[in-house]
Amino acid sequence: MAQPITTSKNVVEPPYSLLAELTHRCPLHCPYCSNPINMVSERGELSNEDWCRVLSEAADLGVVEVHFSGGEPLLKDGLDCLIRHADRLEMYTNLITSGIGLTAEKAIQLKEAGLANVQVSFQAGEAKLSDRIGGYKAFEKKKEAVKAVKKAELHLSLNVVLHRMNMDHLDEVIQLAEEMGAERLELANTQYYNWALLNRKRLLPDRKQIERASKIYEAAKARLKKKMEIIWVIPDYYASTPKPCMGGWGAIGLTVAPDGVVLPCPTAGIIESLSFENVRESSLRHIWYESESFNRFRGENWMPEPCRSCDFRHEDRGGCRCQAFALTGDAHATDPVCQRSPQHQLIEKVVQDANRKPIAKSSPMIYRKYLLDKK
Amino acid sequence: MERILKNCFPKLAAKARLKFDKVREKHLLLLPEKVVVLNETAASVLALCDGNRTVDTITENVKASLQESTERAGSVALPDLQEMQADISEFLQEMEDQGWVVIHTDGTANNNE
Repeated sequence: MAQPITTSKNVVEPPYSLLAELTHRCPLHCPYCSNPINMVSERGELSNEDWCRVLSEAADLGVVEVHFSGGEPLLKDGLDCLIRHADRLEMYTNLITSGIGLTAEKAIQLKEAGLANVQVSFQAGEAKLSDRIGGYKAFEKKKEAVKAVKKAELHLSLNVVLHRMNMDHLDEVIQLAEEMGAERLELANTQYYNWALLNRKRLLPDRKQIERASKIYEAAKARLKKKMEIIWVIPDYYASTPKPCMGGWGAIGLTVAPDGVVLPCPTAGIIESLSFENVRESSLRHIWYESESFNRFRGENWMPEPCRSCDFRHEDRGGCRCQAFALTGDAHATDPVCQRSPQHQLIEKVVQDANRKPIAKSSPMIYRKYLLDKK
Repeated sequence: MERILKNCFPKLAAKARLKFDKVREKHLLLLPEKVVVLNETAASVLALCDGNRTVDTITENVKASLQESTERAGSVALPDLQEMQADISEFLQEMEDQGWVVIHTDGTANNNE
């Protein structure tokens, strides 16, 4: 039977958001992709009937925002039906897309289905660098997609993942977002999981790059105030305290992977010591409230020292469980990003290497690959 | 002191949606990447921000519905109209600063959106 549920407030609140990863298929090959290295094949994907059930269960559970993501969610046939279903359930719908396949007709069709927001990714502010990073000639297609979003009068967010290769070109990124009429721009420093962790040597910027970029961000934020909301996702390797895990493990939202596995966050699947339940076998309600995986890191009882007696534990919640597992092999460990972590040298070493000139380019960049159906 | 909005027409931003959440029994304002939990008064003000009502009208509407509920509850303390107008103006300007409400000074402007 399930353990009694304990959080800091001793009560598990309903989730607000659902990240619906409809597919791992994607035309892009971004080397910082947060999708797992072993992806779900098309044959292993949930059907749209399954997804409709998941959406209904999510709404009953208290979810009010759905993010349709992937992979490239536009590759899922029947996306419009899923958006319509979510809209009827009075959930706010967001499409997180590379923009590939988002024609003017498609944008209007999705808007009519009830879509509220579109977030388009860009790899850089100009074609050459953007296409090199994405491993695909996508830049012009993305611009067309953005025009389609604007024409359909949908709310537009742009998302750009920042790393060593594009960090020095932040001005161009902001200019592009302004020109395209984005209402929101997310500047997301790379989080090192999965593909990004494989390529960390090549992607981790040096301190000076971060300092310059953060000044450009501050200036743009002050200048554009009401015109464009700009979000800066902190580069946690250069922070002294870890980021709180998605507002808390199993606290705010949940992720359903293409094969129906339910995760507290998009990368939690890397934690081999946990087994995650599947919507094909269990209800979302059961998984949210009762499952071992969702209860494991709720509250503070699981915390080791130095977290257990640390004054910051309510704020950072011991940091990211995925990062702890990925870097130390122990999902219970203090996030090594924290200066108080006994394993903080793991981060210091990588940061030192990134700031040594010239950077060793001995390791090749490994581009994200979607493997076709494995026999 | 914030300016008092009188003949302005506030309208909920296109990206924002109001929802009464039956699970939490709370009014919510849904935005891209954000959920704001509203109190009863905030929700009743925002529900009237359709671009066709002035702040004056909204204040009168809110006052009338408050009056009804306080009379039902038998309590007497109800702020006067001017005070309410100042509070609502301040609230709407905060909402505008966040980009969640758009305020037109001319009722015709919003019809083109």
